[in-house]
Amino acid sequence: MSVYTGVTIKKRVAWLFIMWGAVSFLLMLRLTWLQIVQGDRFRKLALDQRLYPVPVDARRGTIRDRNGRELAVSVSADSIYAVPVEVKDPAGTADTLARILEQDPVSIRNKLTQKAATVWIDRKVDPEKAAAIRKLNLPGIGFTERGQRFYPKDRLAAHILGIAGIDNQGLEGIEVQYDSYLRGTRGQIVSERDATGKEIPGGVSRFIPPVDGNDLYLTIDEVIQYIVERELDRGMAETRAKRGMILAMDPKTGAVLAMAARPTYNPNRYYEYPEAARRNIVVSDVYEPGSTFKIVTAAAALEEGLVKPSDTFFDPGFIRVEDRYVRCWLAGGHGTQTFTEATENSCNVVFATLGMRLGTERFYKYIRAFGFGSPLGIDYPGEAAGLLQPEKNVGLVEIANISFGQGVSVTPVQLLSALNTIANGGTLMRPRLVSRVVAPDGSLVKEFGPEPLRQVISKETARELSLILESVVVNGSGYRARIPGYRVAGKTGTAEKPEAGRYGEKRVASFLGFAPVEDPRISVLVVWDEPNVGISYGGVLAAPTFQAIVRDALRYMEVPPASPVEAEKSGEGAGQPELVAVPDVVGRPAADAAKALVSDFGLQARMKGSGNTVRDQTPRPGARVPRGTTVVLYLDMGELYNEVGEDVTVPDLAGKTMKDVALLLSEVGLRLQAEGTGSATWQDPKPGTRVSRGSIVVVRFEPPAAESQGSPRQP
Amino acid sequence: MTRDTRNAAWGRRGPSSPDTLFATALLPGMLGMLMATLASGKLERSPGWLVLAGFSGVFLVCHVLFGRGRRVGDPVIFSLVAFLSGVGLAEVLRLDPGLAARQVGHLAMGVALSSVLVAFTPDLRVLERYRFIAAATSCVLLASTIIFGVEAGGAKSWLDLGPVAVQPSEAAKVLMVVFYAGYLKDTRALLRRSSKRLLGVLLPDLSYAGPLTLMWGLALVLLVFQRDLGAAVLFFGVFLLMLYVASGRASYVLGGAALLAAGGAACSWLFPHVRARFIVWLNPWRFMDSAGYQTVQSMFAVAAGGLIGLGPGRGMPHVIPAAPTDFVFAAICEEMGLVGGLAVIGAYALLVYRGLFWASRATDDFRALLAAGMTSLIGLQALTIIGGVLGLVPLTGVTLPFVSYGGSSMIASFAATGLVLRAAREEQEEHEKEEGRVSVEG
Repeated sequence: MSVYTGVTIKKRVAWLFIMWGAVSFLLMLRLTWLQIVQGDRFRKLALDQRLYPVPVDARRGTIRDRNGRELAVSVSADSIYAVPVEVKDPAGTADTLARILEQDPVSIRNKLTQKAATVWIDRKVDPEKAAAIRKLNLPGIGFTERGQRFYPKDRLAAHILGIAGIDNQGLEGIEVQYDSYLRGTRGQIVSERDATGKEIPGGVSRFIPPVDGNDLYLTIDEVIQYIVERELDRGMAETRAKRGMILAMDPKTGAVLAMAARPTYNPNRYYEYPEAARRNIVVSDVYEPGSTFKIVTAAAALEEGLVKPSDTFFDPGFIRVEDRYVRCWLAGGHGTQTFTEATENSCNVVFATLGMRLGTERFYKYIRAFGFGSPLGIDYPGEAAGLLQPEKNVGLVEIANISFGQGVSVTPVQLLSALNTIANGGTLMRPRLVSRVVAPDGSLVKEFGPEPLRQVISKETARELSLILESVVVNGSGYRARIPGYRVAGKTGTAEKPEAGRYGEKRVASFLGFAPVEDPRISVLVVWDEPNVGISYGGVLAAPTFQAIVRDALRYMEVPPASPVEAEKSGEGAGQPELVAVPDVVGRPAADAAKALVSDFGLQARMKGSGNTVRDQTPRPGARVPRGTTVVLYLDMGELYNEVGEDVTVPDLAGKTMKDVALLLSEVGLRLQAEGTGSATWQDPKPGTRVSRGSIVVVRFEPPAAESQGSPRQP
Repeated sequence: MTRDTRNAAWGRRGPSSPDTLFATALLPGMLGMLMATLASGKLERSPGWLVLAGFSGVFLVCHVLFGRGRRVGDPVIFSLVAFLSGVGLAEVLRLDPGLAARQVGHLAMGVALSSVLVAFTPDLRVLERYRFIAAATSCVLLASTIIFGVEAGGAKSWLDLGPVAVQPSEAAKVLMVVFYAGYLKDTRALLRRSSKRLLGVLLPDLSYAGPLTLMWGLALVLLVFQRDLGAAVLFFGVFLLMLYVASGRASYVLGGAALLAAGGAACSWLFPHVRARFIVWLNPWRFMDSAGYQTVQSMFAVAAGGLIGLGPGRGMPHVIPAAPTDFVFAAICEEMGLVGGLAVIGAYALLVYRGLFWASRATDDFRALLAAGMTSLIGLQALTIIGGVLGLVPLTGVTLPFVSYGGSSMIASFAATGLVLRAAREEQEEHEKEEGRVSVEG
């Protein structure tokens, strides 16, 4: 007989069962708690989770120039998502999608089998591909529209604008700096779906509309920006420089009028460019300014009363500083000269003398006051601070060098802001790129006005120095910056580039200046980094670029010439050039216009862009220019010189793709509000209607007719 | 006389009792299948009718063949199994009619295997002789998955045999219990002799500690190499329960459980896939869109059921991943409500009760341990997965015996049941012989 029989085994088994009963009871309690006590709460939670939300992107705000011209707009693009539980045949579906989207079938299949409510298959799909997939009517595959950033002017102001990413988020430049204003708030379409992922008829369904982003108005003027980019391209070709940058500002307000750099990129295809091309070196990079920095030395010395414009100096070609000789760039020296003449000559010896008279402490006070060594607070990401040698390390030799811009590193923004301070009666203004933020309904959200930072030098000193700098252009090294009819002040710079701790063969040629002297409207800094054409003087390479930009900009801004007499007197070349009035050729066939300009008026004609009709011209009709001046005819930049507030004609958009529509509307200055995807089938206002510039045109897009019934679940 | 107190065997209460019980057990499942078929909207040519007919047929035939339940060993266990199979099949049918049709096949094979074991096993003691062969086969089966296994649902416990994929660990579990029963019967006396104490705790003899450590090691190997937390818990858990029945030492069970917990903690520290399970278990809500999706969906489904459920075909259990297999209990709770859920839990409790009842009555050590072991296997597996579905314990990828879809699991569960029923029948036969002797003598 077994030992297990009897009481012992029974007791053990009984204990085992009691334990079992207890655990079962626990499970029953838990079940009751879940189903009865927590039931309502969980049912609500479950509903929340089963409400498959499909995000609706907010329309990202438009970035405009100061006159409302569009620089960055958002257009619609299809995105494809999947509801995995609804996909019937993941393998087949994945293969089909992969073929059309030209993607890896395995990765798509992985997405289709994810345990998630919705997964993105592909975003911002070409309309043709999206239409092809719609046509297949695949179960579990849905479509949604997402905003795609489009930069209608391509490279124009690329560095200022930056780029926005696929999720409507700013990544670089103004797009990231003002992302919180631009991005808006994403909306949602939520609809309850059953177990197979189909929308439940009469089920809970909500539409939370997105809140569109705000528009930005930049301080940039598209026309000046265009002029700057044009001259930058020309200068890059002529100087064969490694890099180039041009900054144009309003000296009185600190507003940036134009900012451009080379190398550059096209923000519509930014991924095709190296990262270096996307870097905005005007704000983020520092360089040794060379002689252009003498404006700071001069300002400090004048303000401290250490020198008067008429004080005379003798430059033997060198100056002994401690155990070293600081040489003037001109072998043999400039001899006897006044301070004004020394500035015209950009004499290193005189400025070294002034620097040493100032002494480290005083000189540094002014350098810092002018904004060097720390960011100025421009509204742009990644502003560099510049480099100042620590004061305690700065002896006489260093001071002498800093006096003519060696051993100090600055950003172009800092340097031009310092010049602006002189042009602006001694007040340093904060540089800025955005003037206001405007809500989609047109109401003002935020305005950024001129922001004075501090008075650096007195008004008198500023005026005195302005006249000295004017003299640099009139009589000195900056004569190539002269503009007939206008008073221009400026300073040349030819800096040696430090390489591995010593100065080598490479140069930075630069010029900065402002005009008109009596009432400054624009200041410009031109920098050519490592020009490669034998000569490298800023006065030779950079001053003409400055001249071309300021000349065109002043005309564009309709700044009246100071005196016509002066204009004639200071004309270029030997003879007195004959002035002719530029004819109006806008609207004429391009070939005719060019022929007329050359044969009837003695002008040169240059065509920009592709097209057959002249959309615009510069200089403007009626402007009096010397015979032989080149008139630029714009064949496709219809909007360039138009005024805001004008009425425009609504174009016929029928049958056009979304991208074409966006381009077309942007060209005439209208705003697109797109509905649906595909090609345009309906528009409001109708073609031919006259509406005011900046109006919204609502355009409905539909997939080609054969497929229109094939998108039952388009949210 | 203790024998008289055991006369509650159902066969004694008159011929109608097993029939009524059996009919009552079949009814919920058949009703569920009917509702699922009606809810599917396709009445003609619906596979639901075939499934319903197949299910009723298989069990009815078995019932009749075993003398309308009287010779089946224990009609209560048989009825409970029929109930669980019916409810499970109804839910699988509602989820996927194709799977349900195959499940009928699994049921038929399971019932057949069970019947053979009950009717044709010469004597369970014969099995005892093959205990080491059983252990070796079990180990080979487990090793085969480690070497040739394919991964599914995170666990590498499937063998792909071309047309069918099987889970050898299901068969291994049953074989291992056979070995446990034989081994523990052999060493029972040794086990009880240990009396060394350390800090008031009984220290086990080496003869006991060796196999215990071995089993613990096996559990950890399963956990690590197969990533099969469920199998690890079952192999080791059943061993501990049988060890308790054999030795009567609760300290062994607690010590073993502590060892398993320590091993699990170490593994969760070493292996991210184990750790993930624990983290999700602790707070599934934090991961409700990723790793906790299953658990959360399962709890949602359970909550949606309420008191009486939404009715088969009227909920949305498709949303739960692995609804026909691991999470079938959640689907049942959603569509059959608290009533259905409690009935299932209750059915397992009753099943365990009946199994242990026969273990306690066994006149043979091996038979007693075998009955207790097989019962524990089924019961522990049910508790583990129900606890996991309800978020009480970490999720383990085990099936709900008789209810979940799956051939290997179904056949293994029926094999285990067959052995319990066989033990019960042998017990009854011996009892009848004795009674016969008594009546002849009396």
